[in-house]
Amino acid sequence: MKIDKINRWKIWIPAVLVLLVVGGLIRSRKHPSDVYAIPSTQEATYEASYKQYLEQHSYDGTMATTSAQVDLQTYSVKGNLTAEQGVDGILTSGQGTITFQVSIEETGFYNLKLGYIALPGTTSDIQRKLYIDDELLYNDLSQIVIKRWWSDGTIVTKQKNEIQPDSYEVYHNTEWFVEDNNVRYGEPLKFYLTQGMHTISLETIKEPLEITGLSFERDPGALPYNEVISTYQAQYNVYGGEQLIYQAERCDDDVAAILKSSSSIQVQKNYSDSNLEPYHAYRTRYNTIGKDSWENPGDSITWIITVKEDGLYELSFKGRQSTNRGVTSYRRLYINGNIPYEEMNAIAFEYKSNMNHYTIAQKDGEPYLFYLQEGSNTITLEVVMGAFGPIVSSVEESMIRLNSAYLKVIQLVGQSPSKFIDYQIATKLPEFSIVMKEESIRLNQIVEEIVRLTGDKGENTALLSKMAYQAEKLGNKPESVIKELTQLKNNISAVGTWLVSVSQMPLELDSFTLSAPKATKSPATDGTIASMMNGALRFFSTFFIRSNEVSSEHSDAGNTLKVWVVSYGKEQAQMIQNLADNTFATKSDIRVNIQLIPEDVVLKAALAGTGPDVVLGLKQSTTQDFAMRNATLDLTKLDGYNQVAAKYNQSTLDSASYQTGVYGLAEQANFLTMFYRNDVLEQLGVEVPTTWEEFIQLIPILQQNNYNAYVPNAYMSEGSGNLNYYLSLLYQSGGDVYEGTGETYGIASGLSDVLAMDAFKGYTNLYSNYGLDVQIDFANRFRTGEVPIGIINYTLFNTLEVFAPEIKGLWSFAKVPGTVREDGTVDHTVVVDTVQSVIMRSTEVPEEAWMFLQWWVDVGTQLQFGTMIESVMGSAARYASAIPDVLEQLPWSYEELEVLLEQFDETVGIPAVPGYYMTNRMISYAFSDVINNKTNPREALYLNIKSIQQELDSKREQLGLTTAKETGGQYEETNK
Amino acid sequence: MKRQTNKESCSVIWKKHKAKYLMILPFGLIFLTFTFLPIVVAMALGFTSFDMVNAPKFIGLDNYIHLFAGDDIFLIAIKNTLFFAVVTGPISYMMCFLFAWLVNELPRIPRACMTLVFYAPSISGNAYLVWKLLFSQDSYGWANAWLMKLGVTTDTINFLTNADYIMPILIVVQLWLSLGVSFLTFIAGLKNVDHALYEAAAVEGIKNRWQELWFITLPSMKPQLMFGAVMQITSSLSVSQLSTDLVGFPSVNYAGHTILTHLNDYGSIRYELGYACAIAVVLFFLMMICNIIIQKLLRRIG
Repeated sequence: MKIDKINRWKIWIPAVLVLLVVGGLIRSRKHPSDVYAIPSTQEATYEASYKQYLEQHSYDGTMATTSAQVDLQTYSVKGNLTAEQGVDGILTSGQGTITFQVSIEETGFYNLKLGYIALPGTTSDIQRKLYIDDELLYNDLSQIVIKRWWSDGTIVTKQKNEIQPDSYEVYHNTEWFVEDNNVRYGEPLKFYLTQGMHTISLETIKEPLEITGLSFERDPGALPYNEVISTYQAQYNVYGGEQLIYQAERCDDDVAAILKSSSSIQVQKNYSDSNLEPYHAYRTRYNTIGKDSWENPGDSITWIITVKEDGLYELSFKGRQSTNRGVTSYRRLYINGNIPYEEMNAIAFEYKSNMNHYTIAQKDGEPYLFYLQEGSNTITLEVVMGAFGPIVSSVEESMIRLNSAYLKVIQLVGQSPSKFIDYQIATKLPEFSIVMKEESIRLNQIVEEIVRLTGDKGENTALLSKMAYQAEKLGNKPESVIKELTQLKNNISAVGTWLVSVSQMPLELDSFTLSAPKATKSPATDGTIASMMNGALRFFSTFFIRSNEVSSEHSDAGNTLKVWVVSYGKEQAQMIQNLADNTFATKSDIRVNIQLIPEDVVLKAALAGTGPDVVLGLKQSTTQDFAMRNATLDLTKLDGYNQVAAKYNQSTLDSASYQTGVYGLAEQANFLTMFYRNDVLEQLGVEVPTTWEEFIQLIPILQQNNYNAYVPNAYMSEGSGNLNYYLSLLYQSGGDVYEGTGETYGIASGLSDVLAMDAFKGYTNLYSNYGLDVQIDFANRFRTGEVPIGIINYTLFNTLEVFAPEIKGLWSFAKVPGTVREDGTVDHTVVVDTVQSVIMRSTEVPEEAWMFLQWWVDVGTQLQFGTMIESVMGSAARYASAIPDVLEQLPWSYEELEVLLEQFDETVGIPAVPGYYMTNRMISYAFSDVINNKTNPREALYLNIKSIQQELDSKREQLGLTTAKETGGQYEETNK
Repeated sequence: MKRQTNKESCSVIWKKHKAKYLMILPFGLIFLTFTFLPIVVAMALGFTSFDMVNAPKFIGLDNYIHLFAGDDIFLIAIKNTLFFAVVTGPISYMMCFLFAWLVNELPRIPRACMTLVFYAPSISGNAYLVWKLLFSQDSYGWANAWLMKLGVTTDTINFLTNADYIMPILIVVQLWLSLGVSFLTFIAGLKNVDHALYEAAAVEGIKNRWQELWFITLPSMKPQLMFGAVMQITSSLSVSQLSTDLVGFPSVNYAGHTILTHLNDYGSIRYELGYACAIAVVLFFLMMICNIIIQKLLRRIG
């Protein structure tokens, strides 16, 4: 028996080894000798209104030959915009419109060249609306995106690991032909201008801008390679020397500078391959740039490099596109600021899972040759949509048509139609079947086109095929839509998701090479043995390297502050550590050790005497629990509290206060706002409601058209619930959750008040009388348009902005509806929900902790933190700062910011009250009682108040505070 | 003199069994520190008022008095827990055995597959959250969508926030989950039964398979039955995560409130650790009593 086992092992071990080696060989056989980045040509598919505009003025490809310079001195200003003459041009800031005069000599089509310098602002792109003669000519002009320039600081090494560099903005004069913001057409936008005087106006959406030049002229473009290469070859030598390798991610002797068009384009650490330069198996080395941080159309990276001699070079980029399977990433190449050949407008970088040398070459592998001069040159790659541009445009158009067809069906049959009713869809909605048939044909064509381009029919096209199949079926049998409504909705939103992923064109670059034509390059990937060695090394290093350690240095010196970060991820904790190391530690000589710890451990650790000095990212309720039990320091007693508090809204301070003290400083604040679909409300001909009366009047109108509205329910367990909604109503009506003032605040529940009862009745009536759905996934139904208006926390904005491109520009948010006060003004009050930072009472270094906390909630630090989060994690992670001054400098548009700040001003914070949780619980129970058992709302609420009062009394007694009974009947009535 | 013998015998025992004690030492230490000691501390804290920040204050039997005399919700929790345990405990115990018995009859490969299929729900962690999707209140939630499609209901049912539905749903999900460790143990137990016994029994005059089951199979696997019973009692009395995840914490009108969620309520939300410890002690004795009863019952088998 034993011998048998040993023998078996003897067979198994070699078998596994053989498998490993074979696997390795297969992997290494994939060593691609030549991968070409082949230019692609495209026919632009124009967006509907642009197409109509061009047709209206019978565009046939000819452009005007003259150019017309706009006289910048002729400016006039509307709105809050301030404009002044700067050194180089006109400085504009604030929201409003600036208008210039221009005289045109020749009737015809022009491109528009903009000269500009970015002005210090946020990390966001600059955005403008463009009007000619006070008219928005076509949809693309409603959002012109103008790029800023950024550069990374030097990559420094700390404790043998490299630290991610910060980005800083670079200001220089840029000339740019105005293009559509998605870069789908592959050419600048065209404007038809008649002879005579015209006006051109720029309306600010976001960010200040210095305009240094504006002129209507034809983009000269570039000539085809074959036409110009012979002249070049006659003029310059073909380079024949050694290969010149330039690092894509870091500056050195050969790479003088790297400019990025967005601060979110980041250097990356890639451990996958030891042939990357630089490389270390387990220490942090930043060796590539881009990846999924460089995928949005219009984003570019420019390398300023030194070349030793004049000549014609082959250019190849070492990198990979391993992120987006089935998608080819396109880049536009500029050399010294110009597109060298017409073909360079869109170069395809195919999907490859391993590193490759992408040599820019023709289809037969013949490399393109580029002229570079001796000395300094620039090479730029810009994300463009290339051959996917027309595809994305048509899918988008198709989706918009399908969605509107779906909405029309919904309006006819409602959201849950009965299968026993004949809705006569074919006669009532004759266009439905036509739309379905047409879109099915279109989508099938698109699928074919994608397969032709990428040679890949897989998950990428499956979603489109599925939609096309269903559309075809519905086109033939429109009545069956009743049964397939949900499926149709899911398919349409899947197409929306597909659009988001396809419009992303990631590319990761390690280096690029200038060489003689067809020079043999060093292998892009390492061999089997090396790869296995690295894998082994990395695996064993995990036993020794503490990768969860955020702090880069640790010492036991007395001046180390222990800071626990509770509700953030590792990346954020790392950012806080970096910020603290770079700015706080250097100034104050206090070292900070950041640790990432779950929230429920804090109190236990404090009890055991190993607790932190400062805790960041603490939930509001936990902050309050700590405050009541004297576990944290009262900040009002500390020096300089008043200066710190001055930058906060009273509501955010209130939310961390207990009795007379304030026990935390807020980092984040979230509150309700109202989201609405402009298109749907416009179609129904209704205004955006500003009061509850208007909101309630709107509901029947929506429901007549089979739409609905959304307000959060009061369930504690369900994701779509929000207890602050009812409390906000209560505050708007003039009530308060608790009775008492100052020390006695919270002595009795305020819900027995008639105002609270009425507010509760009004709230539950929305469901029981007005037929709102208690529980829905608002974000999804908002996308499809079924629920075009709803009240939800404002951070939904970030989600919609990123994940719902199909409704871009069709929705906005506003303050929540308000209650009209006696004097006619409207009260929009909502309850704020915060995330706090606190100092633990058990700290031995309260002064240092207080210094750290002051630094942490400093406007500069918070802004830097918020900016870093957004630049690394994208705009879906926009920081919900609790400090209005910080909020103001985050990349919100002027309009959005106005709504946010106004709503933020009208917030209340509920101070800590012992036993507070019982209020939420009982509201939730009363709510469910009304919804499920149809109990009278007043009765339901009233019956539950007793439990609240019991808990308030018992908690106050435990904490040694006066209870309602002891006040001699003042608050007795609620106790009956 | 007596002390002397005692001491002697102690040292004799030590000498005799030194290796065994040394071998049990590592586990013994861990058990003492992390299981026994906390139980003792919890019992002590049960007599105090303690909020984790300030030092515990001795208050005698106040916690227990309040628990049984003044805490309405604790009574709800006890009612829920016992109801839950009485329904799910025996049913799932029998289900475990029944399925184990059936699966054991199968040939080898189907048996392995079926074992995996039955055991999968309880090893797949929080997979029971699919039930949340199933019973979602949204009109697109599966159960609601189907009920409306079939014309059974016209409006959505708030399965997880309506007190009437909460307990039945919890019971169904618990039963779905319950083919866990006991099920595996039973399969092991069934395989361990000596086949010679069956042959002997056949000779002795066993008439049918039921008699075989009752007189041979069950008595032979008593240790496994015992183990399964203990596990089943512990798990049905200490259910809380399931309730928290499915119907929220605290659930509507405390409909899914169990002793353990009540304990969590006081421990983590209300910061009354002393009171929470008192609850824990009560739960501890409740389990002990149940175990004794079950042991007595199992002795009667065969």
